Amino acid sequence: MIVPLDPIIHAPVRLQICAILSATDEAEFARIRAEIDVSESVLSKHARQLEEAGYLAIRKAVLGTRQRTWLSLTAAGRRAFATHVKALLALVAGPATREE
Amino acid sequence: MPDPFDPAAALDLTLRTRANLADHSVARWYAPLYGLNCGIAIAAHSLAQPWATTVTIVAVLALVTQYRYWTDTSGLQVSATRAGSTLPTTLVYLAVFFVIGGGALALRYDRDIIWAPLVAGVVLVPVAAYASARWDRIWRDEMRRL
Repeated sequence: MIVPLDPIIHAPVRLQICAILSATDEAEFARIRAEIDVSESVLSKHARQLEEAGYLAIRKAVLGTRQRTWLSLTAAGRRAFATHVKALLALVAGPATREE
Repeated sequence: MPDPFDPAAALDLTLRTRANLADHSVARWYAPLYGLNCGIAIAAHSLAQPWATTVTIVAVLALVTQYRYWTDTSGLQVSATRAGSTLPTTLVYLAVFFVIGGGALALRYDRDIIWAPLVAGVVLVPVAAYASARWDRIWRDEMRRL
């Protein structure tokens, strides 16, 4: 059976956001931005798209006088990312594997 | 950026992103300090009251503070009990901690063997430090694969 690619996760920046969040419970917005080296506005735009799809949760927290934004994958987001990676692996492996 | 329609490039990007996160998340100070705080929390019970309780509370607060400091500086939150390849290490460590720590407290308070928590605390320092370092290594190894 061919597992379809998820169009929400497919874009490189959103794929990278999911890759980081899949390894953690939560990651700070600034940390993700530093890891994938994009501007705040670009990261915000992609994070919002993931949030609208129900894949991402956004939490604001205040530390001292500084507000920090934490991002995490929802259960649906974790499932979607795992399925997307599975689909990529199947595509790389070739048609024989995809028709198992 | 890879071609979004190239699955191999997308997989490579995913792996590289996670591997970079693993490389940037090394905190060598964490495990020794964790071991020390766990050992002190148990060893404190060789002291007389109220010092036993006071030092234990301070050690537990130090554990919480250490995790919060790591979270604040790393920008990451990772639960020790998360599902995945780290879980067996967590469960084995918790079992060892409760056997050694609980056994020592039982000897101290049921049989009045005052030095038992001190010995257990000294044993727990390297055990907890090793468990923490191992957990960290497994977590970072997990990030380097899909």
